[in-house]
Amino acid sequence: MSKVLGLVIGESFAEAVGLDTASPRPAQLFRQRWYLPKKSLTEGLREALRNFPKGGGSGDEIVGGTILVASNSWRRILDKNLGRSPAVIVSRGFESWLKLHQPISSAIFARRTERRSLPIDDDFVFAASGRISASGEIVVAQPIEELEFLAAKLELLKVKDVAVTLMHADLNPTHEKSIAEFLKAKGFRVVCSHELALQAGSDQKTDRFRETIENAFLTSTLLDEKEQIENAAKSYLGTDEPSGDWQLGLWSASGPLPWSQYSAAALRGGVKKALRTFWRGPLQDRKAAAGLHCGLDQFLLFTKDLSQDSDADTHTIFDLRPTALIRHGLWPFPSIAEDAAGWTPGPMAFGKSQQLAVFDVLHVLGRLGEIDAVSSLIHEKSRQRILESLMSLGKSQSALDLKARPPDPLQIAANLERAFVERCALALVALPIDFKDSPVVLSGPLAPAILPLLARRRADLRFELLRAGSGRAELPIDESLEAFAAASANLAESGV
Amino acid sequence: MSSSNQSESLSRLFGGALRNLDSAALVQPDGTILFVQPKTAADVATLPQATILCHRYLTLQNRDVAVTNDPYSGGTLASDFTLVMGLGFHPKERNIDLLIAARISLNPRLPAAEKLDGEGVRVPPMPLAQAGVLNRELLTAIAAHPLAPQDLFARVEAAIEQLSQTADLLTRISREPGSILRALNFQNYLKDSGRAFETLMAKLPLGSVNVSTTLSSGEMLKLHLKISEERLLFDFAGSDNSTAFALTELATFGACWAAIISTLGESVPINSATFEHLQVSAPSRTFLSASAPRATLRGMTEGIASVGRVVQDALCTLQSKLQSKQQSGFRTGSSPSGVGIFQLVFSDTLMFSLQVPGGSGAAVNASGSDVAGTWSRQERFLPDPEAIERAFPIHWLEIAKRPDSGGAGRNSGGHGAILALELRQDCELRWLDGSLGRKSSGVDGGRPGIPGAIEIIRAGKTDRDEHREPEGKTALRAGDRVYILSGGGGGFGAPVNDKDDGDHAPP
Repeated sequence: MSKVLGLVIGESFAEAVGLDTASPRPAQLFRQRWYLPKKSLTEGLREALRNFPKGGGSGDEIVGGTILVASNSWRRILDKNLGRSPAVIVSRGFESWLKLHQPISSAIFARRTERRSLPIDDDFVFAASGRISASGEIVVAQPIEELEFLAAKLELLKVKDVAVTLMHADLNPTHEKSIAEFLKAKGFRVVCSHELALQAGSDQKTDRFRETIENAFLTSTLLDEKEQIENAAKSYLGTDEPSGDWQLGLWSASGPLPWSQYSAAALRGGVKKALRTFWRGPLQDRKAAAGLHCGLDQFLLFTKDLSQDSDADTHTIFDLRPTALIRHGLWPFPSIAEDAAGWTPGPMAFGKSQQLAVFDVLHVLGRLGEIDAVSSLIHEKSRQRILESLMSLGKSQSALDLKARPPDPLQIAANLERAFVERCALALVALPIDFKDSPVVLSGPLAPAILPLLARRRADLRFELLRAGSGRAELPIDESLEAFAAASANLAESGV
Repeated sequence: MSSSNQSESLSRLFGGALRNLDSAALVQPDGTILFVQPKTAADVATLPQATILCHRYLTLQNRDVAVTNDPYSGGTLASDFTLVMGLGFHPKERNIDLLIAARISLNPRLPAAEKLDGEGVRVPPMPLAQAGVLNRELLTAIAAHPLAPQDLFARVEAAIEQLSQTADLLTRISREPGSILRALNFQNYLKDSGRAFETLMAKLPLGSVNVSTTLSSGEMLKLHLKISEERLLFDFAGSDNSTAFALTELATFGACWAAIISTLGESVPINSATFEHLQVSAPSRTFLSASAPRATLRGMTEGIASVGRVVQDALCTLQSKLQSKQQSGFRTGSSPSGVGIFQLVFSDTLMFSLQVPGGSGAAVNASGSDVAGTWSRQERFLPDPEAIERAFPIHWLEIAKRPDSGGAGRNSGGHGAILALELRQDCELRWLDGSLGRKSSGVDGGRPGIPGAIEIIRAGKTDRDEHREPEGKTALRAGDRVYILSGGGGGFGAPVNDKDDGDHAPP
């Protein structure tokens, strides 16, 4: 029996899917989702692995399989600042440029200019004297004594992770490599900017520097995550190392990679790639115009016209997140904000947050059916609190209008829900595709809640719910599922 | 959907549809302004006005495009070109439902000229494309003018392509059953916008105040500000006639708008309904309502910032007056005037141009922002050094925050920037920067920011030539080093445990 365990680590939820890939149509053996603040990754994964029927040749022998991991936890680590500030080595003269060059996040006439934050501590930024020219030639050689001094300083500061971001290192990585080699020999973990695979068309240099720093910031936390996965695997297999035909692999933006390449740089884009790989099948099989994945972390749109490596969600014009916050912004009435609450501590429905989110609106309007591992987190008294918050937002809305009737919180919720659905509808219509006779297929844990709303808003289109494969036909597919099945066929080729 | 949340959806849709355009606007054919996405304060009212005039003069039909850069027909600078496209939601009809405008900013000619004709080729509203077909001969003729910006043809062509994509998107959305792109929804959207502005106005002090100041360039600026429950009146009667600066009345309107929004620290939709609450009166012949053939470069950059500053001072004075000497929450240290423009001209076809902002003034509750720009919507404020080194014969020595350039204070002013480079080829340096040699003042005991400066170390020498004049040009040789130092913002409140006079030596 050939087994694949697909593990998707979301921003707050993890999900494991067990598949038997021996047959041409992989069969789903089990699936489970859990909330990471309540159950650790190791514990949840261990439970999931126990679902695999042991056996093969004799008794309890465990025979062949793959644990394939896709992780979005890097996003949460960045958003919640859960990483560790790395030391950053830059070309001399550019020590403060990195922060100043970050994209402006404030409005044009804002009182204060704000920039996108970069996880750097100013005291941890150091200059390297070596300099590469725009043609890739060494203009100033990197002095070795400078590195000795630097290493001593980093040791003193108890820094573990180092980001090396030198000018023109993508043309000539000599200095970055020599610095990395020197520091690695001293026991530091080093991420270099020349290692990043650049995507054509992006603001390459800035993204290269920013991503390098972020990856170094993520390293320690992601290594903890890696260790948790390995511990669960060891405990299941009963050995220190995955053995026999068992192997670990990870999803990267370019597809499955060997476990040894587990790093922030490799994990970024992995979940999206897994989903994209998966969607090619349903879009073709069902002759669908588009696939809307209603995930817990984000809604993503996929179309068959998009090439395999393109970023499908960039074709939407709106960022759709189920935990998008609700507040007064530009308008004198509550509206859906650009930023999201995330799932930790979560929306108000979870009972620990004061911040209203789209999820709360769907909850009070009774749109949410049973969602595995999510419904159990909804606090029984939260409905009243949410209604009171909506009422309070409505009061400030009518404060200027003395003739206004007292606000109806359910009406406010209904308006907000319609605004959210309108965003979904606009995202669809913004796609330059012909919907004629082609359905829009929805997947993901929130798909059952969104589909009827969207179908009412776009009565001219046909919507279908994408369901899981054999055995669990009543459930919509979740974050990963058959993506792993599809990918497992490629494992041998990719050498994972 | 309730009108309220529909207005939010429309606003998002407009913003999403225009997001690939720098400065853009949506206007109805009857002249009702629906949405403005400005890149600068000068764009706020001038861009919709250029749109309206183009349609009035040329009666645009579906997918026709008009072009203008005339500051006295709703433009700003001779180097900023406005393109206006007619959009009909029904492809077989030539009638239009919307006008989409985009403004592209090209490199201005430095130093500034006295007359508009010296600042570039002047293009009154003229038809550039008919039913989507570009009149290439006309565009070639404009681009061939010796004073036309270098990459005019390519940039205009690209902008028309972007306008077409926006038009395609809006057309698709308009045809969808139940589409929110309907005239009735536009009316509700405008009504809600007006309510949003009224909510904002409720935070302003009511009353009137007179302020006057002499600008660094010598002009006397007088403002009578009157705030009632319905309207804000800005009356600039008594201000000097045009000398160094020249703004159009609509650009002055933009400065007033930006000052109000910035002071309150909140956003509101920019459209006809919100514009109704502002009335700007700038008597003709004053530098705030100049007329052809006055050049506009200094007015539209440094002048806008100066007018905005006076409006903010007036608001603070009014608030303090009403709150019986209480400290106004609106007060801030001043920021360097506008964003400095620096150009390295290597040849007729190779020019590196960059804008360098200074630090912003500190407020009662916050320090100023470093290298922050003034009312300019840009993705980033400092250049990408690698890309520039690869495109121009320049070797960067340093791009950094200029230490201690922000004025000290209980809250310190934002710091300016240092951009230091070594030339690999002979060129001419040209600049326009009103902050050179001028301190940004602090308030309530806050110290002034360090003024901006240009310093040059000639190849083989060690002494620095310093330039503090607001505009000029100088020849440079390969090996020369140029240091562009932008000014810091003024501090707020007396510095704690600081006994110095606040005048720091520049690094």
